[in-house]
Amino acid sequence: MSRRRAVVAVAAALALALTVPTAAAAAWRASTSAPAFSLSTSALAAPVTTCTSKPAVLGLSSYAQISWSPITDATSYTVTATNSANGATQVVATGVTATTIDITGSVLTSLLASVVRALLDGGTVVITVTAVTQKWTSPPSNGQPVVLSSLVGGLLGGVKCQN
Amino acid sequence: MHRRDDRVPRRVRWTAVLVAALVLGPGTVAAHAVWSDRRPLTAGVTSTGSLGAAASWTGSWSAWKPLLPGRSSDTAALRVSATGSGDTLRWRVNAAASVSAALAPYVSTQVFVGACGTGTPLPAGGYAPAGGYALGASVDLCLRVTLDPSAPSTTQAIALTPQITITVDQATS
Repeated sequence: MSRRRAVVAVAAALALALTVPTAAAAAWRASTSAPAFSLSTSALAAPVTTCTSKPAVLGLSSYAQISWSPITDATSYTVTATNSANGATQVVATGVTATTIDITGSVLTSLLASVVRALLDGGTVVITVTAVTQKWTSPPSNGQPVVLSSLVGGLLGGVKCQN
Repeated sequence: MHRRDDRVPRRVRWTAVLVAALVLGPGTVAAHAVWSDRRPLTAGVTSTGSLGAAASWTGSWSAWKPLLPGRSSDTAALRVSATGSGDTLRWRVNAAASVSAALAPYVSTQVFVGACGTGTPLPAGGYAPAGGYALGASVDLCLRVTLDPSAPSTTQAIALTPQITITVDQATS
């Protein structure tokens, strides 16, 4: 066989080998989609709060007790005080696992003056609660305004629900 | 005495021999022919096989609940079967799941062969028992969707729209 014929034969063999599919490449494949279904992320509902005025007893000043119904999937709650006059907001407590919190004069006076000033000016501080789980927070609850219990009581740190 | 010349010329004699051979030759061949017969047969119809995939939901959706950060939700069983024809055809199953782009950074998916959590996580190359599934066999899959604990509050109340694409491959080994 001449060299030219040998070269042609080798080239033909290579071309044939490349065009013949391998077993893996020849395997059949079929696809389909699962029937449609839906899913959504959950959402934390806003707590609904109530306010109860607690009278002064045994040397303790009067205070306002804020309560709310537990929120499904919430792991804790954050309580916030807002100056109704200027909208300044301060966090009263975070990581609250109970569904009540007592708002006393001492609690409010621990906040910045921007919030407490509302009380001293005869205004109100509005308490709201948000439900929390991980980084999710619910919309704020309805606000519960609290005021000084009285001029004398206020000087002693007493507060009460406005309504 | 007059004697008739009966001798046949040589040329004529050879001609006669040749004619006799031509005439008798075919007959001799026919006598030696092997008997044969020919009859058309009804050929059986043959064709290539085929492979298709089918999937349908079955079982309970009780574990399919709205997602919360750090928690999972499991679908009902997705029953997958291969359709088609082929006596020796075997297949393996694979699946890919996806969710809406808005939540994709915070959502992970995992497909199980069998029940979610207790079944076998579907390998990247698909799954089949030894020898592959036969046509007519089915396998149940389950999709687990998990929302990352770091999902921001803005991911509340958003539709996921999960999608599962099932692939059935011919098992060649």
